[in-house]
Amino acid sequence: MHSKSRFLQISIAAETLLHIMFWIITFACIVPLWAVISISLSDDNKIRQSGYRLWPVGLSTKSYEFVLSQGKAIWNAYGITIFVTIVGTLLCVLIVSLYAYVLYRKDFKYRKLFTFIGFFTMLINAGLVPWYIVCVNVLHLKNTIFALILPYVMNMWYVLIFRTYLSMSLPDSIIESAKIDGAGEFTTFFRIVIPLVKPGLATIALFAAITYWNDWWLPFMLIENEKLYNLQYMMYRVQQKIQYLAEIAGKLGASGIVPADLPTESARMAMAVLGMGPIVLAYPFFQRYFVKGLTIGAIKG
Amino acid sequence: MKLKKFFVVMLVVAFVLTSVIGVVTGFGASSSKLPYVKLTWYVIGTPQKDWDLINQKVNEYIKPKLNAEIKMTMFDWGEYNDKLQTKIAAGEPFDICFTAIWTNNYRTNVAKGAFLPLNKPGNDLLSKYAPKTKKLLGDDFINGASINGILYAIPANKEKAHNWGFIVRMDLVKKYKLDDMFKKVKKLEDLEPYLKVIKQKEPGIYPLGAYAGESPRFLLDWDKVVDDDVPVSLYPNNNSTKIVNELEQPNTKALFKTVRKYYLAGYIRKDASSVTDWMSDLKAGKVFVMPQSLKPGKDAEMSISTGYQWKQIDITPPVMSTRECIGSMQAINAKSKNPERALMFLELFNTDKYLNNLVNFGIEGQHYVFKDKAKGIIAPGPKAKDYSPGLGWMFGNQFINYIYENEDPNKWKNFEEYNKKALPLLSLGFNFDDSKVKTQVAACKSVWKQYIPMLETGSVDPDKYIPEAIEKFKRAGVDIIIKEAQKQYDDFLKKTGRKK
Repeated sequence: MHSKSRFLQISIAAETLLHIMFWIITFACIVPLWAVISISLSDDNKIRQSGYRLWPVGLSTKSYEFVLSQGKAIWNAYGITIFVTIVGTLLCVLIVSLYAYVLYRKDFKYRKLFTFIGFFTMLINAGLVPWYIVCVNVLHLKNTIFALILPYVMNMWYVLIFRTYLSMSLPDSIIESAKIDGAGEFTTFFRIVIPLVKPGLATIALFAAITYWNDWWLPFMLIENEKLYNLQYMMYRVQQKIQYLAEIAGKLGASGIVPADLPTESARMAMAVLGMGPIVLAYPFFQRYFVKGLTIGAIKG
Repeated sequence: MKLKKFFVVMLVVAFVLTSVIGVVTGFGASSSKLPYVKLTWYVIGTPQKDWDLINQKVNEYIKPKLNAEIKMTMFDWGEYNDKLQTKIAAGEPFDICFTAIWTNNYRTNVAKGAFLPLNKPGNDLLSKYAPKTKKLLGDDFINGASINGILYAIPANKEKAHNWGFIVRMDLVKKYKLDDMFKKVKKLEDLEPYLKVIKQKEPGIYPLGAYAGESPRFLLDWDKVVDDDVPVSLYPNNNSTKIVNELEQPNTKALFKTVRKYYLAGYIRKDASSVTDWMSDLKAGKVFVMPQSLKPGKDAEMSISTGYQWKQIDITPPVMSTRECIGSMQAINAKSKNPERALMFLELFNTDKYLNNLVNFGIEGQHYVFKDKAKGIIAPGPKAKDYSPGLGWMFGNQFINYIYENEDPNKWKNFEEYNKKALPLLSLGFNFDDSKVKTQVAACKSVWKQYIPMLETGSVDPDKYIPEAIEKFKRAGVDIIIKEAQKQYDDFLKKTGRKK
């Protein structure tokens, strides 16, 4: 569909303007990232004296040594994050694509019903407390690794995107001919449909991977066992703690509260850098599937 | 046709399966037929490596005594409040939790009906299951922690009062021979000559610590009626029962003027009004004198936590206010399945020396070692870093705690004297109900954020900014709050029979 029709041409001036705009946005995204990296490579005492700089002051890798020497807890959290991301992404892609595929099939009798079920819960949700009660008292997810995976496995929004993508890019006749050639339903789906819709799957996989990787909310709600904390949540806790202790310092009065040693500024940034690491590399991996964006109706997905 | 049917069945099975997975991973229903019970307890603090080991030891000790085991869980400072609020909202049947005025808010939870009333007339659980604890705390303290005359949580037995003053860096005092400070300094103004010396001789040090939220302002020791950041207060003595706007009082103005003078003289950090993390300045050795909330041995505690030697100068007299009473408590969940057993556990925990110190200091020979067993003086053991929560003020009863060797061996005796000396305020146990003035309170809080940090650090001229702040507070409705508070307070005084 990469047609060079004149309809899609824009004037040089407009193009320049757009380019400038996108460069500005790009910088706005990259500069903070750069600042985090440079602070993580700075010497703490120097930061205290001179404030934040865009170039590392008193170059040192101490903070990384400190974070990595924290040993088990950090590596454990890293492991949890990676495991949950991989397993969660695979499960999410599988379930979303299966659900979307049957909704795409016009000869499926209960198509309307299942579209409605998904769509209804997407628009109207019961709120936090019922969600928590279902997770804890009905599904008994508390303090299990499933708590970090299952709640995000099914996402109606992804289903709708994927279904739209299927109906745009997968002609019914392919299914018909597969049937005539004697393929069963599962053969059709796994051997014929899946290879044809890789870009769609890649998109969903990227969405899911980023969701799982960046999630601190699920451990926050459902995990009380330190061994199951993921990396993002560990960072979130440190951040919360620093804020909170500053906030309540005056209120505690004579309680004689002694805040434990908090990680230094550069150590926190080092944690952030380590936390970004692998997921940044995930994007180029998926990039090749995004030659032609996905659309939901007329909207880019 | 068959195929279709098969698929419908498959789909239904898929839906059911997703809900079954969870159930399989969960636990079966717990049987409550056994006389043995399992309790749960949530506390706040920095999670400790050997926490589970200590928990196991606690269980070994309490099982023969109470036929119960307890699962102790510690949440980090920043997450405790949110975690507990979720649990309470979801109606989880845990048994005991830490509560205070500053986290997992005691008053709010009581208003929600989240905590079990402990001494309701006709159902006085406290006298029945925790008589020793009741005696330890004393009536004043129990009154102070009660809401409308009923106690909903057990306060920790610790210092029952507070006073304000300064802590001073001893290495600098010795270096410049400033020892007469401890005799001469009776108020903020008396600090001047000493600050001057430090300013001249130690250019890298802030002579006086004043920060946003921790500053000399506290020397006025207002008895706050509403919240820390709302200027509606009582004078901290029993001479008057009139609730005032503290900014309109002459002593406030005088104090802010002194702070301003010090700021202009360069005794205070230039950007103080935007800095809240005073602890890191103390640890970095950048402060000479710091205003602090005091109790006996506060200086020793600060020395341990900052790595510098401090000595305290008491300025205000000790008073017992509602804040001390509800600063650190253990509540029993209203939805608890075994409230009596939970209370029995707390009773044991508050009175049993071994159990209390086990949770506070860990295992002898590992986390601490005895220096003098008879007196209960200890030193950190070889594995101290795996278990040293340092939460004596939370865990029960400080008077049976061991003492580190670098602390004053008479610490607990001093505490008792201090508690005896303290003046119980008339407002003990008065809890302001702000439901009618929520908007005004919120508005006042934002005015406070705007003005007070600048005034308390001396960053701006009080002559110009105090009137401006008062004006803004008035517009935010501070007078409406004062009126409402006065009405409630008068009712309270009448009900409790406390005279003016």
